Amino acid sequence: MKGPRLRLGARVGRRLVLVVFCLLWAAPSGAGHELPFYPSYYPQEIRLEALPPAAAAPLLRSAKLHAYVGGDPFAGGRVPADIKPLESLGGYLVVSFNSASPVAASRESRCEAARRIARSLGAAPGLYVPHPYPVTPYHMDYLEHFDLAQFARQAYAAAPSGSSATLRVQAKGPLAERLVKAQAKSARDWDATVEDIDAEGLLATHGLSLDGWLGPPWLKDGWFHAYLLEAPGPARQAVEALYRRLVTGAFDSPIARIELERQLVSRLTAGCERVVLGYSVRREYFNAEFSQGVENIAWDSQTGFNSAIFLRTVKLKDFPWNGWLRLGMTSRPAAAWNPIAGFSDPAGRLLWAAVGDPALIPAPYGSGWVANRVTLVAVSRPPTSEVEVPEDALVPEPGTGLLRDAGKGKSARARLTYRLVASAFHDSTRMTPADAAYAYSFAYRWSGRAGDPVVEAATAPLRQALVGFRLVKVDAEVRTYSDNTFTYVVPVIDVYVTGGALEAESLAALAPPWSALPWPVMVLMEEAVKRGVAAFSPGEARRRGVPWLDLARDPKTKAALAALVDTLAAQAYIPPALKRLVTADEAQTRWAALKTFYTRRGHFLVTNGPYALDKWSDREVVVTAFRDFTNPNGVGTYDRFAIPRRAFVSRLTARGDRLEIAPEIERAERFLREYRIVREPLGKPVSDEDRADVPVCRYVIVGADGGVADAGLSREREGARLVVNLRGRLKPGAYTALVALALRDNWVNPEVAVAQFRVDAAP
Amino acid sequence: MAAEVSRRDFLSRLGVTVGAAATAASVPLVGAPALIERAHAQPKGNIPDTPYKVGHMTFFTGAAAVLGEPSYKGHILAAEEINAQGGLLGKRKIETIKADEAAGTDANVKEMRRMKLSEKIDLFTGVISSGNTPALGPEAESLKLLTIFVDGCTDFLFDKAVLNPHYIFRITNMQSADGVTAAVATAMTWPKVRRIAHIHPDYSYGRNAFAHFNIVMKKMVPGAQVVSEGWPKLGTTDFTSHITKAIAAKPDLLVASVWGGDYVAMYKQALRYDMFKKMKFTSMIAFGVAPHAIGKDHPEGVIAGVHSNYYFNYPPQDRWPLNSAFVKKYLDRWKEYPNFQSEGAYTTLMLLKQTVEKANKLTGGWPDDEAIISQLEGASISGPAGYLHIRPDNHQGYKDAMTGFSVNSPDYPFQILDPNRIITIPIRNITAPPGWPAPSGEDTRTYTWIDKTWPTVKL
Repeated sequence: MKGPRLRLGARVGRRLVLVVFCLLWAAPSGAGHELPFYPSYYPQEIRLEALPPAAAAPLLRSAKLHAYVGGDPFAGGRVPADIKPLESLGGYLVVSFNSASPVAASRESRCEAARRIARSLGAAPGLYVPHPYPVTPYHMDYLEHFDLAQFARQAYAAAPSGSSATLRVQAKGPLAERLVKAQAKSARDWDATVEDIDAEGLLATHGLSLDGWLGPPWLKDGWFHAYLLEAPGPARQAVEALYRRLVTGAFDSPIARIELERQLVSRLTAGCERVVLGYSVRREYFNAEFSQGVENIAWDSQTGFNSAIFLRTVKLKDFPWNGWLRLGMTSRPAAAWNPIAGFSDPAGRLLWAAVGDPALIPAPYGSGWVANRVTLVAVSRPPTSEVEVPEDALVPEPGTGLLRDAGKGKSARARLTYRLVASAFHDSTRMTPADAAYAYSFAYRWSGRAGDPVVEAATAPLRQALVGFRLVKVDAEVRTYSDNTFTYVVPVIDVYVTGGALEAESLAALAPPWSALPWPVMVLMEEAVKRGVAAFSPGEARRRGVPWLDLARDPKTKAALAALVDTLAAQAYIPPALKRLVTADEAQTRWAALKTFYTRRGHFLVTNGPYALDKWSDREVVVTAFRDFTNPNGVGTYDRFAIPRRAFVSRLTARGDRLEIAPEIERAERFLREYRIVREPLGKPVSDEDRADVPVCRYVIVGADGGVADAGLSREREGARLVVNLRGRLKPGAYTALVALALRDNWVNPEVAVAQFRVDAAP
Repeated sequence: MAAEVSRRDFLSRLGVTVGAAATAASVPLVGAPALIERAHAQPKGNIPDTPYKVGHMTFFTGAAAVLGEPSYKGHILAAEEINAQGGLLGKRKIETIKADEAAGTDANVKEMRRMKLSEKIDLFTGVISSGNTPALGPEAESLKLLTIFVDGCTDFLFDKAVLNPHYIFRITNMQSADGVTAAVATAMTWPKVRRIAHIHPDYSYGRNAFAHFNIVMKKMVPGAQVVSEGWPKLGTTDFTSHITKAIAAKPDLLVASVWGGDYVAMYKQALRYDMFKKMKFTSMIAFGVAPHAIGKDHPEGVIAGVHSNYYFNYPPQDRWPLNSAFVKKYLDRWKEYPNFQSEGAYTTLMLLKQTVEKANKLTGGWPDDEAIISQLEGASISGPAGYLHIRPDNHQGYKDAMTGFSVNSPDYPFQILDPNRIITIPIRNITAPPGWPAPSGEDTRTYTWIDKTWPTVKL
């Protein structure tokens, strides 16, 4: 049997829905208590309001606003005691050169000019950190680049002091304008441009909402940001081969990968074509007042409050759960609301973080990914051979997206087995494997000449990695909470990928099988684009002279979409790619549900996410919690990320081929609705909770030649010390050890300890 | 037994008391037993110094962590106190292995088994959810694992799931006490209410509260009638339709067993409709979370239940040193006030300590589980909440049920129960006695006992 496997899955799914219903109906009534589980996250409603910073400040003070996303309403002013800041990477300050200027003539003159400009910049304490290297302490791979970053700092510090007065410098962006003391007078006559590069904006074109896929696995890595920061040109061309090796896993080991990443950044920076002078810190504020404020906050090291993790943890102090959260944001929602190439401005990203539910979410304080709706449960990757792709695995056809059988003789580098949580969509239909399959199909159909360039670019790593996929089975997971039994429908899907030696965590994020949208919504959008109603991306919209597709706000588009739904519903339309996976009855039910949803809610933004779009105006959006008991994620799921704490190396000792680390850790002392952080030496754990507070040690060993000799992670502990055992791993010689510690995966801004040591030849 | 009595006689028979002074009379004014300060008697025989391993299962994640974390904190506080004296019998230090109850019932049963078979725990304790104790109880019996549940208070555990417990015990009052206590307090405070509206969660906890409230009201306020019922579905966040429906029925009283964040959302929505100005209000568990979880905008003067168990300002701290000492130690250690789960978990370990010491006196050496069980059956202990008695026939802990009235105090940044208006009821008077037959249907023993034996108040 080939394709019918998926059909079988769909039937199993329907039966399971019935089972769920029966179980709920038959639940015994004698064993009750308070219900301990609530799907969706803490606030029952989130109101997002566009407000200029000056208007946000008094609202934050009076607790009419709980937090302000993306900006600093108190810039330079006094901050009330109950208002607290949290910091994340804001962006970069870079300098580039006018090719017509003599300064741009040689590498030496460019580098010299960059150093002079760096030394002439003014100060912006707390907002700007001079750091002439693109990998910053807000990147998890900072440790791997620490020595190189230090060399760069030293080179800048050692440069002869001089003035940039002879250089004609223009500034772009508020931070650059603040830091550049004397700007070039003429907009045409300039040597160098110092500009702000917003970190979120830098990555925006690499994101995609389809498939619940937020970006490539390396989205938060410093080396990738360095690559993106370099404008296309000679420096990018010089590293293209290295870049290809990194994204395709063409290396032998994690150590080789680190070496490649260091080489890539070194080569990118060597020519001083576009030079990072430092980075900016985004400071966002929230109200922490005892009753009216919020608590339990996690945020992303690079996007701050504008992140999935923030909305999945923030809790109103006056509510054990529920409550009405009010967030301010710096700008009105301008980008179109479509989950393919829309939601691309800060307001849109924040809204999508609430209504969309991706397969994985970025690890808030590291570079990895956290399982959200799919879990990678097994990886099969033989060391020297390939895995066979079953004949009945499905492969999307480029251009059409039709799902073809893989046929005989196909192989892949790895087989990844995922478990998906197929919960309900906002229109009350239930996700099936067909929804996830259609997301793959879509990626292939809309890439290429007839597609959309944004889809093509954003899905490139996925299409490059995916060899095929196959539904293995549909499991039922039963959880009983009090007297309520919930049965979750869990499709198990094998995904066959290339990906070389990429680590499992990266492989998992390459092409996870998931969709945040029901297939009828994707079909509706496609039909609208095909018929010239709108386009997915702004570029295509401009090129074709049609609106940028918006599922909620443009009345004309909605009218056209509504007419399309009527047509498609009347046909019980099944797209060609799903002919083998969806029955006519199913299609009819799905289209009818979408139609009803639009009638009730006035928009087509149907997802399976934790919040549903409720109301909107040009400056305000309200979403409400979708407390859907078919979704096992809920209040508290991500609490482990709230109140991140740090670990420090208080002493690092190298003894031959062994590193000994005396750690200190932060503890959160909670009381009532407050907490404070205390720092103390690592002691003896007295409970499991304390055991989780033992830091993890990452280390990089750099040889005398500047190459990476070893790297890894150690959890080995001897009493109150952590130990890295390097025995047999290093040849005799001189080395530098770079060591950082983390508690609960918090790798932000680590204090890196350095030790020089020798390994002697065995006697 | 359907005799008629006056309400005054009825309340007198029930032994209901109101206010700090009245109830304090029932506890010693001086010289109350101190649990931990008592000097150690020298244990008899050889006592091993191996750790005494305790598995503590409670909610560390999810909504119910608001109850689970206080339970763990109460447990750890007791363990630290006992260990500071050298451990149980001065030798065996308590080592705690914790588990997150949020994993769901099936996973919890597996975890209990793992703790017993792999971790070799000596005692299993904790558990908040009533969905879990009926599954964990039989498993503990089958594993022959000494177990003292802190909560998981469904009547169903000992009415149906484990009719003849041997290894399992439970500390906190049974669930039926919630509805009964709320009704007795209502009948005593507002005997003239006749029109009653209800809002309860649409699952068995709500139905249990509704049923037990009504059976008591039938006896104590015979003219009362239910004029409105609201049953918010699982996951409801918008209670306005239930609130407006209740208001439209023009009741004298609204009764609710909505809990935690749902309750907070409900009362804040009700404030917008001035609901609390239009009717009286009784709740089974308005304050049944952590004390600091309730804001100062909560209506004052309503009956705000605490799961019929314990609130940190009662028994009055100057009159019952055990409570003042407990609250101080807890506050010092955890920087917050204890709730009923903290008290239950703390008392659980103190009861174990007391029992082991008694058994040691009888048997010498480290007492085996049978010796400990024999001393737990019928044990009495003075805990922070007052006297606790373990009934030998069903292994259920009994202590006076309590509820009270909400009030704002300048001494606290959250709303508290008015220490001068605490209502207590001797638990023996509102629960089925030993030997009362297990009911056949969905009713509890307490329900059928009240139905069949309580007199009806003469109007």
